[in-house]
Amino acid sequence: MERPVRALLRRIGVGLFLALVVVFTSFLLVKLGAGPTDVLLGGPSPGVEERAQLVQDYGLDRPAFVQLVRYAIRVLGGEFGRSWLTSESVLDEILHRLPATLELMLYAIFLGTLMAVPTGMAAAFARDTAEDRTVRGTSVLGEAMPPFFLALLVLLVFFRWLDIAPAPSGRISIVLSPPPTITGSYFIDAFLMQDSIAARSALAQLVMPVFTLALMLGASLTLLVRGAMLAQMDAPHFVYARAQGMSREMLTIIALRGALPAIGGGLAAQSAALLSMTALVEYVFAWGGIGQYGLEAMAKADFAAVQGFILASAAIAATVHLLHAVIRRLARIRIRRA
Amino acid sequence: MLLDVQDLRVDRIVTGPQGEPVPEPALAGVNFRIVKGRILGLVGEHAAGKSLAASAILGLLRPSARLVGGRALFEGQDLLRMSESDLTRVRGARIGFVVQSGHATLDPNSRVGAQLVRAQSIHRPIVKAEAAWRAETIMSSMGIPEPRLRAQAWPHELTPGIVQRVVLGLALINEPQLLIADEPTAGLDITTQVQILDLLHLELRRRRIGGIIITRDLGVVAQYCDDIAVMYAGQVVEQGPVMQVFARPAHPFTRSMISDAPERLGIAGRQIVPPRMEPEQGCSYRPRCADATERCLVAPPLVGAGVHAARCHFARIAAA
Ligand SMILES: Nc1ncnc2c1ncn2[C@@H]1O[C@H](COP(=O)(O)OP(=O)(O)OP(=O)(O)O)[C@@H](O)[C@H]1O
Ligand code: SF4
Ligand SMILES: [Mg+2]
Repeated sequence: MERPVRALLRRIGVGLFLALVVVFTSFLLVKLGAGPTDVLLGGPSPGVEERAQLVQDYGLDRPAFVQLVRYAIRVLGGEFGRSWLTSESVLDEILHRLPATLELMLYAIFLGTLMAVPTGMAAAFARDTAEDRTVRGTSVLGEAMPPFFLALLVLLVFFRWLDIAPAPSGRISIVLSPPPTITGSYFIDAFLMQDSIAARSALAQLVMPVFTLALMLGASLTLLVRGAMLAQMDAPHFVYARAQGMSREMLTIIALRGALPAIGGGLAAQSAALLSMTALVEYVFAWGGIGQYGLEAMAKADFAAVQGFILASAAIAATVHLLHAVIRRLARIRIRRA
Repeated sequence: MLLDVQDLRVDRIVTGPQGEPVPEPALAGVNFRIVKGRILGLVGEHAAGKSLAASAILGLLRPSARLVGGRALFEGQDLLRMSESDLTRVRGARIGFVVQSGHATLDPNSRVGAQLVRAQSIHRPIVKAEAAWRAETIMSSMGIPEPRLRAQAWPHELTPGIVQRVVLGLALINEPQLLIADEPTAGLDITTQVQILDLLHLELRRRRIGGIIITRDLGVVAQYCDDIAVMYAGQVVEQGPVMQVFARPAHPFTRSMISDAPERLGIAGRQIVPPRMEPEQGCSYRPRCADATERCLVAPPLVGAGVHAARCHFARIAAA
């Protein structure tokens, strides 16, 4: 078998193993939860029939190991159970809310990268000057700031002072109805339907949450880019490139190309972990994605929903890592052929 | 005169007791000169400041060091006062520099042929095919077999010996007037070392370009250099024609170096404690000098005229 294919298969294998670990963890969450399993899954006061149904579905009268196997089979078969709060299927709710979260994350990753890469590079080239120290200080501050606080700060600046963003009331103005679902992104769907009013409103609603997330991601990414560039600039081959009389532009390309794998790896790791911050931002801006869903489920001890949220975040993280692996492999093949 | 370095002073920025940056002299007035077409061997112990001097001349100091003063006249122009953009036109075009770093000097992310083409494109507009042809030509004159095939290779696919030949080719491809080679054979096996040094020597002679070979190996100086400059604790303590200096070393450090080479130069892997700089206390070699007297509490001047000079109160330079 060709080597790239084998490596990819190995990654998928590792991914499956991790999926099992996550399933096991979310199972433990309920098993070790403070209360009988049926109560945790069924809410504070499940009825007699509901209770019987839960015992039946999850095999709660069987040994723990059997329960685990059954649970794993159910989950892998896409059966995430029902929320006792809404009595909706958890999987349906998550799939319904997923586009909102993904939209937020994707734009934030894009904007955050756009801010971080040039800033980090400039700081690296200006190492130890006042500019560098300013960039570093601001980034450390941004990294250390609690997401809630930053979100409120953004709200204060964009909504109260500058007045350029609408009130944080979800994904589209409350007087408009959401466009028909095509991609799940209100902005893109409205755009595709040529509904410019809805598109503009959806875009305006995106400004604050995306900016908040991008700032948080961008802060740590800036430090990462700066560090990766500096590592390249201290390498002998970079000194040698300078000794050859290369211009600033050529040196930038050489350092950036060397730093790219480290930057890509860091970006992937941070994107995979971004959901926890997204959840808080969603909460502040009433975004209604899976992050807000998960947080509210936790607050109300809706364990089936919490389990679903954990599984969904693991799936997002796994997808990001797989994408990163594929991109890295393609990049390597491309460099080899260049 | 191709290059005339006068009183080159560089401070190293070290961290003080309270974590504050403190400048500490690392080059305390370095003087040496290179005549067109001749090869100078720059020798000295570990951390004497040889690499630092070469970097300072080419404006390649890292932020941990700072130029304090001096002049480096290259064909009449002071390199130390040139703007960065003027310096980029000198580096790699008129002065080739082989950096001390074993074989990690090539860009790991491009093929060696492409690097040789790029080196030409830095300093003049090129025609791709012609530049590629020149790249192959220089590879074969550096003794690389099958240059066309090797041009397609990545640096990590080549042996250290071949990599070093490519590095030399890169330094020579724009036909500089001066080549500075900092430990050009460090980390190579003895046979390869001899081959590379023979090649370097031949190319310098054939192209009639001046060379500085930085080394800790007096044998290399004896075999390949016309002149020698001996560095100790951030100063050149003796300079002169190789024959003359080896026959009549004027400075006590040079004498001890010659008498118990190679251990003294740290070649046999023996770690030498870096010399301490004691600028206010006379001769920097005094703590280790067998000939030191009261007079040595005053910093010695450069004694001697013409080509052979030494920094010692008691240096006796025989007239050439
Ligand atoms: N380009 C540079 N920028 C800043 N500091 C440097 C540079 N090159 C060397 N130094 C520092 O200068 C001091 C003198 O060391 P240097 O490398 O010049 O010694 P050396 O004589 O070349 O010794 P070796 O034989 O071990 O190479 C060291 O502290 C070193 O870290
Ligand atoms: S000046 Fe004095 S201490 Fe210095 S080398 Fe000469 S004799 Fe030795
Ligand atoms: Mg050195």
